[in-house]
Amino acid sequence: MYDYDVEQKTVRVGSISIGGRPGLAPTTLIGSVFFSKDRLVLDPKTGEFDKKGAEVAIGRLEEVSEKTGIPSVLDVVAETPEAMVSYVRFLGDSTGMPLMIDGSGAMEVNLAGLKTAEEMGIIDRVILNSIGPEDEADIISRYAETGLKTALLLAFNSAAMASSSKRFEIAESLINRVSKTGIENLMIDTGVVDLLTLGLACKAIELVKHRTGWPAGCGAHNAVNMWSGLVPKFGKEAKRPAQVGSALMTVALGADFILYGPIRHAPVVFPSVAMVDVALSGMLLEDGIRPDRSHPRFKIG
Amino acid sequence: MTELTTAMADLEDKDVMRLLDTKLSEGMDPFQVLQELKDGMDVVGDRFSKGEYFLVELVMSADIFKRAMDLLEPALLKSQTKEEKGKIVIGTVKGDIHYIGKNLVVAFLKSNGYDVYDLGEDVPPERFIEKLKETGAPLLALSGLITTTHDVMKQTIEDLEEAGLRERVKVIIGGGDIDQSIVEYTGADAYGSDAMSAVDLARRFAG
Repeated sequence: MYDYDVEQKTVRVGSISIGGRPGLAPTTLIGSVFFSKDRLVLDPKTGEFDKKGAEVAIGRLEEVSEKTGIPSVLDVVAETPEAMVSYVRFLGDSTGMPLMIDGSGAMEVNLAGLKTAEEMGIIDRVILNSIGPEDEADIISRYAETGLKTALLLAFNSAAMASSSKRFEIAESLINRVSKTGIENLMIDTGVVDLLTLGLACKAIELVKHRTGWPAGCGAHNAVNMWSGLVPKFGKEAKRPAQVGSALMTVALGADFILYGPIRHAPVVFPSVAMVDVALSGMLLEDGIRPDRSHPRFKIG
Repeated sequence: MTELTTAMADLEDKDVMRLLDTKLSEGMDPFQVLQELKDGMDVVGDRFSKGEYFLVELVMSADIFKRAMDLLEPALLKSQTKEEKGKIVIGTVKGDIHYIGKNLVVAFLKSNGYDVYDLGEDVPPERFIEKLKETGAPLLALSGLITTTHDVMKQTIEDLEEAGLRERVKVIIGGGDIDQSIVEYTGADAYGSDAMSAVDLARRFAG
């Protein structure tokens, strides 16, 4: 298992590494902050937020990341350029975690975040979320001009929704287009919109890793968010295990990173993902292959 | 259910295309064929509402229906018996490029016989106005997933008023977390929470 056709690539973003062989490289977990219904957000347009609450939430996240050995990235969601600037300024100063700039496809919001990161001298620990198949060359060039080094490529569109191979085709095309622009480090998001597409996204992750070696993962939690029957049929108590389970399935199938939803879920998701990472490292035990000392293998026991 | 309706409902795309081809070559009334496809789409919508189908299956049905319509439309255009239904202009508003929900609404409106003018994504107000003037459509459907689009929808509706179209054009909105409060904020007439409810709204406002 996990013997890929090509050498696996590892992307360095700030102080963390993303990608590699499952069992050796821990899974990177990406949590969202300042999304539209985040309680920390006071005004989504100006980017006013509960600073004290945010500091507490970030502190908890850093603690669970440190305790588990699971690298953590913040997916910084903003609705307006003004809000993105506000969030990036705060997070750039208050944490060393890599930041994903997530304008939900709005170029001006993304550019505002990237330019702020460049001004702050933290562009090396920033990831753009995301570049998709519809993005024109001039838009990608404008992103690259900010000095951006790492981008999440969204290997998904309507035509690929029901197909893992079409997701891979989009990934290949995006890799070719983006790697010419100076953006050196790529991560491939294989696109999840419901429970069935989580399966397809996992198949596509394997294809991407087999054939390109670039780190691949997906927003596993979307599958649970879109599961309309979950609470009505099984009650609120079924929600947390489902959220964690969606991440664990994806990790077990070889994902390098997972978008797990709001950062408030981190205390529940991180230990379980660390558990699976340790179990995966056990698969290499009899071959005499051990991860390095920062792996959850040496932290959570 | 006819064989075609069943194939559509079960998302058997090859069977849909084969049956469609057979029925048209046998001279079946294209509007009867359309009705069978529509019945199949209704079953898909019903299964989705009951949780038997997931979103991806709804999208698959829209794709099959679109391909079926590509085959069927020339035959429909030749026929003189087309049932006249309302015209609808639709698009994802400026600043947003999301399309999955909007495309589903387009497919379900078309399957219910509406003339749908899909302007795509990132559509500025002036393009909506231009198309509404050109077609005389009585209904405008605005889609937007991200919350900043609420302001754009509001602006689009204000521009409709300025262009003197608001009295004759009803506006429905949908996408993401849109609810009645956004209807009131934007000045729209109603919102739809899914593709099926968009059809109900079309019946209400576009006949």
